[in-house]
Amino acid sequence: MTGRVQAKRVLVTGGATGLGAAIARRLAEEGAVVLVADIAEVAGAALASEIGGHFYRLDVSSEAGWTAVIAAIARDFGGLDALVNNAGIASSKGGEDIERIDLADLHRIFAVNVDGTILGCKHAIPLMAKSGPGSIVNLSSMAE
Amino acid sequence: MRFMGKVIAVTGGGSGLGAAIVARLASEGAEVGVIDLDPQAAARVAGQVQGAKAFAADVSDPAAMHRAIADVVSWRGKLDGAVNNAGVGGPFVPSADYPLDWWDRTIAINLSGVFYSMRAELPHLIANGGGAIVNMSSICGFIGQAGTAAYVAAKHGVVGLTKTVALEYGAQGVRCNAVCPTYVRTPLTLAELKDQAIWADLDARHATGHCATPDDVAAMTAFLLSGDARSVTGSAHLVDGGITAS
Repeated sequence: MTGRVQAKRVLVTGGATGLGAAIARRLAEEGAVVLVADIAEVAGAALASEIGGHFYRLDVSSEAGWTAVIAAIARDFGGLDALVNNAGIASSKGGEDIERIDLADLHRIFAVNVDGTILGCKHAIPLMAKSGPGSIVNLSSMAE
Repeated sequence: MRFMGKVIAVTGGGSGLGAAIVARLASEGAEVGVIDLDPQAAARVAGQVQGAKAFAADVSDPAAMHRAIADVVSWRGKLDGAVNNAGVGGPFVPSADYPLDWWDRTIAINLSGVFYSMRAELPHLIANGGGAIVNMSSICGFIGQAGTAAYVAAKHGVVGLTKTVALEYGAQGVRCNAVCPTYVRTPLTLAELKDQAIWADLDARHATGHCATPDDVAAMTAFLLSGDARSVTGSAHLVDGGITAS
């Protein structure tokens, strides 16, 4: 591959499976040091091992979790060059029809998809700013 | 080398953004048909890279565009992609006083020219079994800009045309996207904005602190033409340093 992200330290949340895993693999192919963060420990550790990266257990909706993971990255890798806020969930109750939405379910979706992205930026940016030029990619969807 | 063996036409390829796009595509292996109103400019750009050839055409002349694209196909036997980049600027005048000849000229080149170019390209892309088109829009395809009614209307029109062609020809393997750059220092823009203080102010309005470069626009264009973008069609892609984010 072209090595466009050669040696860049890139944190991918929700990196154990699905889009996150594909993103992690592609970044690794192009030379990045991929830091896979996920609540799925077995799949996340396996993927990190497969691509020569590193796994951190992280629930993106937990501020304490972010504090710990960013501190660990600073300790283990000395900095962070990029963040992919990919972790996300949809309704576990089968659909988000406004007339049937379950409030606890809605709060969980917002906690992961919104709080998780904001917390990621909040906690990664100070370390990224100390590490030179950086980039954040937030996964959104078709909403316009 | 994402474009090894690919034949790609670039209109307005003789200078500015077009020349940077030609260089980028050629560096990734493409054989590029450099189309420009100015044959000497096209020849100069084509002569600077491997595997490129110059063609002269005015994009606002549908028959001329038809011939130019046919000539590119005769040259290398097929067409895999096209970048409809040719465009002009114009004076900064509020709409009620905007010179009608400049309105007609800007629409003819920046909007009708893209339409005529796609009409010439589409049959060859379909015959090729598919391909990709990139149309050059602008941040003025997203937002308004006081004093540039014709340019803004044309660039918004390019976004609409792009979406429509993507819907019409997706099933035949043709993708169609638009690139929407912010202010870029090119021969066209430098001729219109001569005051360096204006450029410094423009740089400062970007989240990145600088205008985009022709190479920045070429990188996005190359991505959209490449197989990396196989699931990307009918959309407009800003290369704007964050200027329209606020």
